[in-house]
Amino acid sequence: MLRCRLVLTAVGRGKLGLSTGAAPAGQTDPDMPLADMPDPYKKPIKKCVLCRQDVPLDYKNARLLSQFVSPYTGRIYGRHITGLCQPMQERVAELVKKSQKFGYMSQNIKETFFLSDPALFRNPLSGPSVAAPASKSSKPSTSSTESEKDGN
Amino acid sequence: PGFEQTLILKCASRADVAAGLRSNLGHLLRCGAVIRSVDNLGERRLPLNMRAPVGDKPLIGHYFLVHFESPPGVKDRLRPLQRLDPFMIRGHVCDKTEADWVRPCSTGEQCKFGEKDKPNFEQAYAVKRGYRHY
Repeated sequence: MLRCRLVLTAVGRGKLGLSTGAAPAGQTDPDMPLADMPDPYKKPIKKCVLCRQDVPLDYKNARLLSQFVSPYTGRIYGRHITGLCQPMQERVAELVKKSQKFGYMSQNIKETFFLSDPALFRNPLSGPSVAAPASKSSKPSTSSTESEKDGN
Repeated sequence: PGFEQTLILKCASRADVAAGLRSNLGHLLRCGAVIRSVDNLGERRLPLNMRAPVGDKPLIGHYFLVHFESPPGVKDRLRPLQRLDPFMIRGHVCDKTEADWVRPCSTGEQCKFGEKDKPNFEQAYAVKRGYRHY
């Protein structure tokens, strides 16, 4: 019976992932694939405006909550208009109701001094043929949501 | 536990507002509350038609935010005291556990943006109420 003793060279040890003894830790063979590389085909998680910017919601911040309310009837816009995810839409609706009860917001109108606030979404009453003006783009801007964070 | 009260007082004069604030904070103390701070949010035009318990319909209110701590049943104890208060328009109390609400996506759950948890909810709701006029 023959007994063979396996001797690995430095190159062989590197290919098997063992320590070579020559190269310092962290430096691998450039021809080998990286084990801890992130998946390049993984799509980024889409988030709604409020989650992406991490906007803190408060029932006292009537200005921020009024952005999700119709200026004509004071009704809360649906999720197909606001573009929020379902938990955030429910939370916004809950806080609008609370704000109205506590006396910060009106139930039937939107305050006139909030009408010039930048729009976070396209107005439902303007049809698809109407071109959106450059100042009121459908894409939310970081500065607008941050300025509304301070609120009243 | 911690509470916060949005106190809306009638605007007559500085002395009246001060008297109103003193009486309302007295109600809180009588209910066993420990008042932590009182924030003055200033005079504002009232956003909706508010009916004061006593007196004429006001148009302007002086807003205060009172932070206090008390046993849980403070709302029930406060209601009979607020009912006949001549200075107050509204004084709703809210507990501070609302601030602990956390986004589901931040706790590691998959973000529900673009996915419908209840796929037929909006269609079913629209059928019941009809076309919604905004």
